[in-house]
Amino acid sequence: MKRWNREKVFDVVITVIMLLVALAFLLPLLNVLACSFSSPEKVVAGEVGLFPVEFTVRGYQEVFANDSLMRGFLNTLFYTFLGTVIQVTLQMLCAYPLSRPDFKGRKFLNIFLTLTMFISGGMIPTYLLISNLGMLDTIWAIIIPGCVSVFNIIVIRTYMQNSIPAELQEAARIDGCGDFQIFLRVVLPLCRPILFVMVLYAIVGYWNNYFNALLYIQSTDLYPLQRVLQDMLVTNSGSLGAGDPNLQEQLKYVTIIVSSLPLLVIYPFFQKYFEKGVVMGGVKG
Amino acid sequence: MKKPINKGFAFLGMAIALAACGGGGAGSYDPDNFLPEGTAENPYQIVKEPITIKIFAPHSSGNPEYKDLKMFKHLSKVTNLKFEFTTPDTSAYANRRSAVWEDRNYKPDLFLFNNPIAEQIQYAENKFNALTPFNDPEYSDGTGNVGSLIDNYMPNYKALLENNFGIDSEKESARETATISDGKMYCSISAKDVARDLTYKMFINNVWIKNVYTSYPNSYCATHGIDDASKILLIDDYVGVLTDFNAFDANNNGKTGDEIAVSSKAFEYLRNFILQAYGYVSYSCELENDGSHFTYVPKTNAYRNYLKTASGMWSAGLMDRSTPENKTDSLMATNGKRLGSFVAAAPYIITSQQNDPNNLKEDGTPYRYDEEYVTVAPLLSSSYDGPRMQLGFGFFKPDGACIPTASNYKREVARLIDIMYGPLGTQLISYGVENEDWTWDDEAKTSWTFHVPDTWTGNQEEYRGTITPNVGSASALYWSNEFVGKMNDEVITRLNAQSETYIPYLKTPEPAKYKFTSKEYETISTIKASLDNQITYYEASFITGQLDPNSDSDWNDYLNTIERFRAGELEGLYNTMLARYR
Repeated sequence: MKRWNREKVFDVVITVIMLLVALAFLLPLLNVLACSFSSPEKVVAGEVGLFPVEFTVRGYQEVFANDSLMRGFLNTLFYTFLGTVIQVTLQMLCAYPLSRPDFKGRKFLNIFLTLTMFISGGMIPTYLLISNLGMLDTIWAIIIPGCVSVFNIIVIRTYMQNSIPAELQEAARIDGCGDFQIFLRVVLPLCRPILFVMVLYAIVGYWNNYFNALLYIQSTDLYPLQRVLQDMLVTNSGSLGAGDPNLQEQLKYVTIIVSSLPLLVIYPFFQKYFEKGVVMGGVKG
Repeated sequence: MKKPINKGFAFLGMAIALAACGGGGAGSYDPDNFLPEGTAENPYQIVKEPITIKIFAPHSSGNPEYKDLKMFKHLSKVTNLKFEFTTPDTSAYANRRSAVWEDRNYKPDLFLFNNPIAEQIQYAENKFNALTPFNDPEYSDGTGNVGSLIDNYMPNYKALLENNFGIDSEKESARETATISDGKMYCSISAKDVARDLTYKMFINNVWIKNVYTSYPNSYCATHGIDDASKILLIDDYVGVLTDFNAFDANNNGKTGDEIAVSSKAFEYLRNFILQAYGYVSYSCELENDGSHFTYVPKTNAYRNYLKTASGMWSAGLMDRSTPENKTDSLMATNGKRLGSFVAAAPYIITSQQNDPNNLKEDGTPYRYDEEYVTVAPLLSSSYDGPRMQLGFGFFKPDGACIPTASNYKREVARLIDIMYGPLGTQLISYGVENEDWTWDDEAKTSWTFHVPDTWTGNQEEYRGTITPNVGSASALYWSNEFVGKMNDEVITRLNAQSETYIPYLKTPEPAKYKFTSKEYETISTIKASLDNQITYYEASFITGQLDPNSDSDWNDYLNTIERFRAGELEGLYNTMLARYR
């Protein structure tokens, strides 16, 4: 009985702490959401809390009527889709052989790949590489650099080692499968949780990436959304809300919602795989 | 049964096609294609057959892409040159510039704007032969004898250098600014002589002063006879007037306390203004008025007096509470009509609504809130009664345009740069194309009018950003009062007149003619990277009450801290450099 009470108290305390942590994240988000739907004057006066004051969608009308922002939005969708496909494909293909104990040179390649996590080329050599590859001011300068993460490869490899029995792969081979068939028909379907985690990582990475665009992209037609937002929010320029400082301030809230909403929307669809994938992939291999 | 995994599997990767390496070669230079003096029909034409000039320049989001700027379209048309731009964002400019020097595939013909002096000195000291000297009569390269670019191909620039751009050379020397220790000029200078751009401006609401003076006999204004901003002479007067703004209904709207006495985008803007009343204009190393030595200002009693005054203003509620938040103009403008005093480029930017259709003046014209504000001249204080001083940004900077030695088109680029210093170039980079973007008002050319299309929804500066990189991206090579000062615009004319009051008091704390060695530049940069953060942190702490500037203990702790962050060494470097010049 005493033990039960202790557990109950523990649960309550944990729940309260978790609720407080959740509120700490949720309240600012709700405030930003409320500000985005409130009158610009009320936003600037600091009179908006968790609910819109003098409800209006004027900010959203301005944003969706803005060419550069919409173009950035579409560019980002494209970069995110293409980049995610490439990134996940390369990482899975790289992790699978590293997970196979019968692969010769596995140890060396593991060490070699891990070294790149500690020793990177640096900004200027990377720039020169991108320049020499002829990728400056092309979509590839956004997609290719960083499209393979060694950390992710290690997580996938560990997941494959821990959750896919070697016997299953041997059985497939006895049934006549080659390496690619084993990978496609046996390993990949069993890797669904880690696959979704990697897809989510890739989507978030590409969606939020602005630095590659800042360094390598010059044509405004190729700007991703975050680069457009950087111009708007950091340098406070652009034609949005021109002439009305209150509206310009409120538009910052609107653009935060517009840029982060897609990620918030897709996250629940990945959540059920997220925990399992990360836990299994994170176990020491 | 185990079969080794297919080895080929492990080497899966992308097949990346290497970029073709063409395009970077020297090519054959045709000296006969160059027109040193243009043609009879078109003096601006530089080449017979078009060639492509690769330009590297900073870009900010206030401008469209350079290729779409009217200025360069027009320059291309009249010179017969084609331009290929590489324009990194200003926030990534330094990194991209470093990378470009290493890039074998891309060699610009012209580094336009923002050329760092430290780089020029480093390359010259180490004899990298990276930048073409503008004034070397012996200079030659693979294309033949180039000689002195200034003497041979830059008549406009040469004439401006000879008469020091019309500026009194006692104040500042263009030639000295442009020349480094080996006697060569590796970069043309950027020059400006328009009063409103030579310093920052502190504005105060003159209508509020008159309101307080007439309506409240016990106010500071009434008891000290201040019925106009021009009568504010001491920093105590200024604080007294702000105190009135807070205590009384200065804006006459029936409510006391809705006024914000003073605001600025950050402490630094107020710092300059207040510090001047105690004998210095900057917060780093500053040349003393007698030119004898440099002083690191944050360790002086003058700086402590500034902190005491600012701290008093903060605790009395005179200072906008959001001052430390590093605001933008637009965020300041959200309180535009509630501000008694502020630092800004122009009042209309902060009051935002220039014409109030609901509030008509006696003559029937709409009321303009920005007209209420006037500039406050530099002040003195009870502890400083020396000459009045105002922070001057300087007339010249050695950062205008550089020609890399790798360029085959040095003569052509020199002529292009020269055109930018001539009447056409100064007009183009300022306000665009004559008879398209602006027109002379009379035949005597005493004034001109800028044309912003009726369909344009932004402000005038935003429209100017579609014409020239001078909005946000870079300083003009020559921002000339001879042209800019003739603009026919009520707001600008008033601003020019108000700014003129500062000109006699301008002091450049670190004159551009003084240059360090590359090693010294490196050390200064390293020291400042951490020292400046300490100064900013302590400044905010002293002003907002975490530390007390009146407490000797707090002040001494602060002095010890900045000394640990090498403030003394920094001052020493400046004085060593000064001694070398002597």
